[in-house]
Order: sequence, then structure tokens, then C-alpha cells
Amino acid sequence: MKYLAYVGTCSVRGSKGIYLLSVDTDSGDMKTEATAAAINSGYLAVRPEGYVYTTFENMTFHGYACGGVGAYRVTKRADGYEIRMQNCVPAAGQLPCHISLSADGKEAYVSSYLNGCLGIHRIAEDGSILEAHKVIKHHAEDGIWPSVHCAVPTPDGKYLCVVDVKLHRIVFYERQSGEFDEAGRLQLPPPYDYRPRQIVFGRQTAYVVTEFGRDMLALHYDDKAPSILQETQRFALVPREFSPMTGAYAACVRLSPDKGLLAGSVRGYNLITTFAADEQGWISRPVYNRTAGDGPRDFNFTPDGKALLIGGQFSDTMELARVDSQSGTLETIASGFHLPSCSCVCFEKQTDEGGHGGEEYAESRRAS
Amino acid sequence: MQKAEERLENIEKRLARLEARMEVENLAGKYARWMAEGRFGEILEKLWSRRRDRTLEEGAFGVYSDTQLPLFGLDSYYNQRYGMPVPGKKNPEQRGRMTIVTFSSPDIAIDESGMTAAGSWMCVGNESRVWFDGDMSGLPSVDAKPADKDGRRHAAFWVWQRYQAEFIQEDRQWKIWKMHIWDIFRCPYDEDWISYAGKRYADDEYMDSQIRFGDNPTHSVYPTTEHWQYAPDRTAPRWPDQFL
Repeated sequence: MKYLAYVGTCSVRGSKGIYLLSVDTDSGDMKTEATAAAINSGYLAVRPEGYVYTTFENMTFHGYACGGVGAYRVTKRADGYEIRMQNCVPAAGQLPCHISLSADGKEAYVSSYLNGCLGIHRIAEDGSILEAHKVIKHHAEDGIWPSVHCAVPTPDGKYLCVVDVKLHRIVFYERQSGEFDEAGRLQLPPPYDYRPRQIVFGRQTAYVVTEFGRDMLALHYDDKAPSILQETQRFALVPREFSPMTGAYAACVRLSPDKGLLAGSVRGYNLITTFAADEQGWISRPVYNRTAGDGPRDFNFTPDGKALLIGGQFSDTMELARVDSQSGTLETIASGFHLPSCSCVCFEKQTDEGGHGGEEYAESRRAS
Repeated sequence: MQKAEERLENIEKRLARLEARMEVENLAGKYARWMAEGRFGEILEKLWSRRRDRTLEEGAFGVYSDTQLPLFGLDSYYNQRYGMPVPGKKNPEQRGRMTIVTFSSPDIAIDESGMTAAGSWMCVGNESRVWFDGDMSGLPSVDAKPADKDGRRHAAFWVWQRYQAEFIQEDRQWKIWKMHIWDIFRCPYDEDWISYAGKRYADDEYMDSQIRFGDNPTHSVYPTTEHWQYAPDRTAPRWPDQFL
């Protein structure tokens, strides 16, 4: 199958910004279809109408002390693809490291790591992103500075789930007539060098990867009250027999489209550990898969869930691996595709042509 | 009428404060010289206080602190900003680097106890940085000279700043305790700050995106408290008064 993937990068070693890759999971072919200049496009969010949104994970934005957020328009032309910046606006804080979209694609949630805040941005009809109309700020506690690392809407869209990597907590905010009020939180116990980093929601269970703890947490929630989480399982992402390693941090958690396979990555050890997830969200059978590249900071399942595209942040390479959904093992299809310092991998929704369908999708939305 | 003993004690106190002022000024002079000589490790070891609450903030780089040691620390600042070598890591190119900070207009106050002091200086600096072609972890390519035969690219620029610092006595030696470096402007040496400000505020492909995140996990611990840089449509900043 052929897919289009967007890759965000750190602006080092000749990176060109955002990459649009075509990926063939049968042949293993990867090809850069287009690039767009973006300084430290740390995290991406894709809207199927042909828009990609990125954080500019910087200390300044146009001379001011904050990072930025950019909206890009992707168009398919006779001679190939083009990614063009639609607009950009300041983020609510410095080093914005994560962006997610609401289910209707009308809002973007941008986490600013260094300031410990979350900016809520509206997305205009023409796809451009507006300045944050609401900022949720965490505050220092007991000398610990907050660091908002990830924010995603809950599956029912009722809450915004915010992961604070340094305050060690997951906080739920409920929208009440335009305001966001805290509706619940899960405070993870000390030690504080455990660091919850990213979260995904599965079947009645949310999964959290911890950066320094290098664990996968399974947190049960009730569909009727997803703001109440309870830790039910904890698995190490690194086998116990592995030697200790400094600077080996867990980075990414992803769930397959059918929610049956969970995966978490660890840089340094260069592992992607997979788990089988059952109908109730319980996970089991960790399988430790070595990656071909160095530093799997981010990866993602192809839309059919049969392959993983893995970014080697430090080896400047991309790897395509076949997923055995029964055993959880990964088999490398292709590796060594040069792409500097991958920080985020996102797939575009597949179309019948196996490629970008932004215009058609937008047209169908307009028609409906 | 003061007694002779009281007068003597008063004179001694005033003399001690005068001496302290001179020592703080000398400390600043030594800092400037060692920066020019690239002795960043010695600056950290010998000129900075060993207190864990020491902090350093510059421009929009954020606040560096030792509160999260061993993860981050003030050494991250000197490593990222000036290429201070770190043992066990691939270190940046040192040849062709230059860091000149020239302090002037000192405004120094010693507190009543004679144990802490505050000082501020205007500072004109000239820097040249170097990195290899194709590696954007230094400065954006728009600010750089073309690559030399070894693929090294250089950038020469002005940095005008205001240094504000607190000092503390440790073992009868004055040490830097907290430092805040306020930007005034920075621009390439061969371009004026007015035209450069226009570019900087329009795009991030300029040096103002200083200390990019890159793929280096070290960065400041706390965000920038306040940031100002020259722009034709901005009024002059009002820096805080001395800390004391």
C-alpha cells in the first residue's frame, strides 16, 4: 500500500523543515515528495482537508520570547506536491513541543514545555491558525516548575487531557461556557524523575509513556467519566537484563488504528516495545523490538496498521517496519532513508488513490 | 561628636566597601577576559558561586539554573551558547570562535553587611561563531559567511547588552551569584540594527531564534522572564533597578 506521511524535524544537520514522504509498504520505497521550511517543526497535526499544523519548538518567535505555531496548505499539482505556509502565530510559551486537534478540526491544543502552559487556538475556515484565545497555565509547586508536554482531547471530546511531565500529573479540563475548569487529575507518586510524557486513549484505557521511568502505564477510565483515571498496569519498556544507560529516555506512545496493538519507544536503547491490547484495554505480551536507526523519538502506524514508520532522530534516518499484529514483532522492510533529526511522524488519511486527497475531501465536506 | 573609635570603625567599613567595590569590578573584568580566552570551565569553577540557587538568564535563552542537576545546569549555558567543551560529547568546532564582552558604565552597590553586592554594566560584545556547512545547529545560514574550503561557516555579529548581576562573598572571595543579561540589539557586524530588526521580527530564519531546541536535550530550566530587543517601533526598555 502507498501512503503519505508528514515528518517534522529538528533544524539540524541540513534539515529542510517539514517533509512529505510517500511510503510504499510493499516495496519499502520511500520518497520525499515535498518539503516546507519550518524551524524546529517539533510536532505535527494533520487535517485531512490538506492542512498540516506544526509547532515551532523555539525560544523566540519573530523576535519575541515564545515559540510559534504554523499552518501549512498541502496541494497536489500535476508536477507533484507543494506544502506552503498559510500563516503562523506565536505560541503561548517557549519550546512548544506538542500539538493536537479537536475531532472537528476547529481547535488546536499547543503544549509549551518550558512555560508549563497550554494554548488553545481556533482554526479558521480557510485553515489558518489563530492566536491562542485561551491559555491554561500550570504553576510551580514545592519548587518544581511545570512542563506541559502533551494535551489531547478525550475520545468523547468533553475533556482536554493535559500531561505535565515535571509536576507528574495528568489533568483533565472540562469546557464550561468557554472556560476550562479542572475536572479531575491523576497525580503520579514520587519519584519525580519518572516523568509522564505522552498519552493515548484506547478502549476504556489510556496509556502513558514515562520518559525517565521508561514505563508504559495503563490507566483505566470509565467511558462515562473519562476524567477519572486509575492505574491498572505498569510495564517496563526496557528488559530488566539490559545494562543501565544514561540518556536513554522513552519518547513516544502510539496505538494501532484498531486499538489492538500498543507501542512505546525508547531512545538510547533504540527500542520499540509493543503490547497486545484486548477489548477491555488490558495490555500484555511485551515484545522488545530493536530499531535500525538511532533515537526513535517518534513513529506512527500506517493507516491500515500493518506497518510502522520510525524516525531515527540521531541517525538521521527513517525506517519502515512490517507489524505482525499477532505476535507484536516488527520486521524491517526498509531502513537508512536519509532524513535529518525526525521529531514527529504523522500519516495522512488514505484515499482510493493511495495518496493525498485533500481537495477531494474538502469538496466532499463542502458538498455534505 | 563621634568618638575616635567610632570614626575609625566607620572608616574601616567604608574602606571595606570601597575595597569590595573594586573587587567586584575586577571580577567583572576577569569574567570579560576569560570569556575572550574561551576559559568557560574556569569561569564556572572560579568566578561563579557554588550555591545551588545561582541563576543565569540571557535575552530569550531562558533562565539557566542548577536546580535540576545533574540534568541541566549553568554549564549547559556555556556549552550551548559558546561551545564550551563537555567531556564525553562531540564538541563543537572551536577554531574561529571569538567572544568579546566589554563592560562599561559600572553601577555597583555593596550592601550594608558587606557580604553581597549588586552591579550593572552596559556591554558591547563582538562574537564570531563557526559551524560546519549543512549543520544548522549554530546560526541560521542567512547570517553566515560562505563556507571555507573545509566546509566551515562563520558569522560575525554585534551584541549590545546590559549585564546585571548579584555577587556574594564565599571564603572571602567575591563570586557571581545571579546574572541577568538583557539584550539591547544583536545583528550581523556588516548590517545595521534597524534593517536587521525588520527581518528579525518578520521571520525566524535569523539569529534571534537563538539557542534553538535542535536535537540537543539540554536547554534552560526556566522560561525567559522578560525579553526586549531593539525595533524601530519599540520604545526603550526600563530595566529594573539594582536588586539590593
